Amino acid sequence: VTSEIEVLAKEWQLARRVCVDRTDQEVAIEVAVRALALLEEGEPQRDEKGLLGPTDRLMVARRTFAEGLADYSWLLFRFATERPEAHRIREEDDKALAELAHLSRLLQDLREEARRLKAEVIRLEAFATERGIDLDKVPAAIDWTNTMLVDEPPRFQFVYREPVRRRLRQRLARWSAKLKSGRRTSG
Amino acid sequence: VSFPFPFEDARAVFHPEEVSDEVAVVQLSEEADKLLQKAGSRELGFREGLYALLCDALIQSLRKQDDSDGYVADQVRELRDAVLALRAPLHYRYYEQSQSARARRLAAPAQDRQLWMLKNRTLEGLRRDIADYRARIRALRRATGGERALT
Repeated sequence: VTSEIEVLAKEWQLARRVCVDRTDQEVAIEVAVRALALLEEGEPQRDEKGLLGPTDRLMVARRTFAEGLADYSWLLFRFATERPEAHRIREEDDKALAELAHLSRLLQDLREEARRLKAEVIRLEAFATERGIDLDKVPAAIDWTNTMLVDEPPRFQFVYREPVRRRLRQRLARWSAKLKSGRRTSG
Repeated sequence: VSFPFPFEDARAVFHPEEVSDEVAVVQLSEEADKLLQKAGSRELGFREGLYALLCDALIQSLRKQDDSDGYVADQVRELRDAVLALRAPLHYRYYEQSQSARARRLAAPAQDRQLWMLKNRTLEGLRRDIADYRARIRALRRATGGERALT
């Protein structure tokens, strides 16, 4: 044995069914002989209309069968042999996504609890200051620079403002109304 | 569709949905190896030889039904076309499988890092903060005379 080749087991079983009384190595030689014969096979003779006789048609059908199915078989082999790895990657990915979703929910709960406790600390500190207690003397002081951000970020609020021209026009209208009323009162 | 020997079970052999990933490792003797080297590509050459062998068996079994070359050629072409009709779906499935695996492989490091940060930094930090806040609250309550003083 000098080398080995991998094919789908089902395909090899077909070959073994065809060559029942031979060993694997003998079948492999049969296969190699046919592969070389296909390569050395000449083009069939066509008649004046460019058509083939039945025997030549069979020869061409046999060759295209072998070439077409060999091409298909190679693609099928890659597809089938890479499938378990692709399946494993997909499963790992699904597992990671599920873990991420679980941790995100946990994160929300912890942030909510931390926010509530932080508010309580601030309230109690304000109350203690009001009562004249020196906060530095109360143990377990919080290093606020080293805590996680738990407050909700300020949300963008849309405030409608009239366009500049319209605002100017409105202001002008107000001024002219004022002026008119001023003239009336003065006149 | 039923096919004659040796392709009676063609669907299990060729259909992408039903094909098994079980692989047969064929040991090649020196003689077979030399012949395949002459035939060019080993992978494709071996498969061409294999299907030529199977086609010969198919031709023999078809001749039992009708001995005319024309009939046998038509039947061989029919089986070939039936199998090759699966080529486009197979291409699509193979492309989809390799692309999604590739995309996942590319995204995996960032996803792992995100998980690691969440577990070891964010959640840990929050747990530590919560413990600190609780300790501070207890100390402040003690200093101010307990919760009742607040109400």
